Amino acid sequence: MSTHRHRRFDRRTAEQLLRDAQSPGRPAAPDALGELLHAAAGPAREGELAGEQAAVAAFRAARLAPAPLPRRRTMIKTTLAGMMAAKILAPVAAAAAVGGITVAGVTGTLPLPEDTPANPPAQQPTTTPRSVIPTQDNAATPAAPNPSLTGLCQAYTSGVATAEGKAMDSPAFQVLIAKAGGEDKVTGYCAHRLADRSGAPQSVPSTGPTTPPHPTGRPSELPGVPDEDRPDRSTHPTGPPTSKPAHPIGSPTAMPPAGP
Amino acid sequence: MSVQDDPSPPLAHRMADRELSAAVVAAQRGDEDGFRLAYRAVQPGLLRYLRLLVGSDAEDVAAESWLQIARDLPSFSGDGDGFRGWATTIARRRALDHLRRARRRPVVEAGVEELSVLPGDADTADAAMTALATDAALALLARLPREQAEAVLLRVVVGLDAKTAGRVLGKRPGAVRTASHRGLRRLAEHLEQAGVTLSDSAALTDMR
Repeated sequence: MSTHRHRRFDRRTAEQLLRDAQSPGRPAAPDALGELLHAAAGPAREGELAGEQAAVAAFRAARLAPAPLPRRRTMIKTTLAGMMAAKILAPVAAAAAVGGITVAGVTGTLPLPEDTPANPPAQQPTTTPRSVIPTQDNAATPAAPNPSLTGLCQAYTSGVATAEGKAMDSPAFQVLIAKAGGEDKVTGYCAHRLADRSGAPQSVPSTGPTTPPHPTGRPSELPGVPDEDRPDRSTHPTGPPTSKPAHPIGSPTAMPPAGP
Repeated sequence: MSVQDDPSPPLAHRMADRELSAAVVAAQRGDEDGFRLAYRAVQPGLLRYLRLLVGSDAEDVAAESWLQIARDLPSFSGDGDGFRGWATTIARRRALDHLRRARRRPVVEAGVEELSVLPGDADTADAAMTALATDAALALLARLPREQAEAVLLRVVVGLDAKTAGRVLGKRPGAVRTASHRGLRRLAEHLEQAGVTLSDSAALTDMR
């Protein structure tokens, strides 16, 4: 029995124990506490990865429809690019003017940044040749026929639902079930949707601009409050929405620096 | 602080972080396999941590968190360690929102019973024993005061350093270290009182 070894350990020993627990081998100095920590950090159990397909489905859906956040960043970048271009263009325009060339319209409006497609930090939709998303990814992509649902359907038909009962319980699939009108109708709904998508690659749905926001997220009307987008929780009995931003932790996309 | 500033993590963990960094970069380019790798690297620890916070709702909160992670991934910048911290911050916010909606206090001791995961087909008895030991260890950790349990879990199970864990918790790294050290000391006392080693899983289970 080696439990007496750690009766009085100092901070240095504690730090060592905390770090050792993450190394894959057995603890260097095996005692009960070291073994306990090591076991707590043990390898993944099968059930712990049950949500993988649903997460991947969400990933696919997110790829098909760029998130509002990068879009906003893109706009900032565009603005910055415009400012940079203004600095660069000004002397050029001045030189051109001196040279007697007509440059009316160039110096004032700076059209160049507008014509240059902004390079979004999000990946280009290279894998969406069959989709009906307009090529101008900077636009509000209203014509996409709920690509998130299509992604969910792909995940569904690839055998997720049957493989893991838990997967269908995930919020993403709950959305799909709600959209289909019941769990038993998902198969038919997805068959229809996927057939539509592959069969009519050119069809830009006329209902595009009025298509409601994608149910799996992207609340473009709430870009700063990413927490409240869960569609199946439309009612929040606790507290008004104005209390949400006052969160003690800060934005998940930019972790606040905790000064030492 | 009498403790030296974050010594570098063990080699094995650092290498895993490098792989995770590459996977995250690939995922940000739209690579699905990269996303899968990142999920598998982060999810188990995340789920164990969430279980401490929300008990049996951990799977639901994790699923919500991954929806947001997938959606906001393009806006993330950082390495593998940073990704762990970023994802954990999202998950923790989701968990606290969940608790606020449910109007109840965080569960610390409840829910651990559900941790017992049925071993899959391919699992050997060895793996089953490992899972059992993991459950027992997590159950013991869940008995700590919440602040200490969170600090220990974030560092040991999620694999964050004190600085990143501090960012997740909105605390200074020194406060995280203090909480985790106190937690370890208390754990040691638990173990000593029970007179068990962890390999004696049955004894640990009885302690619950």
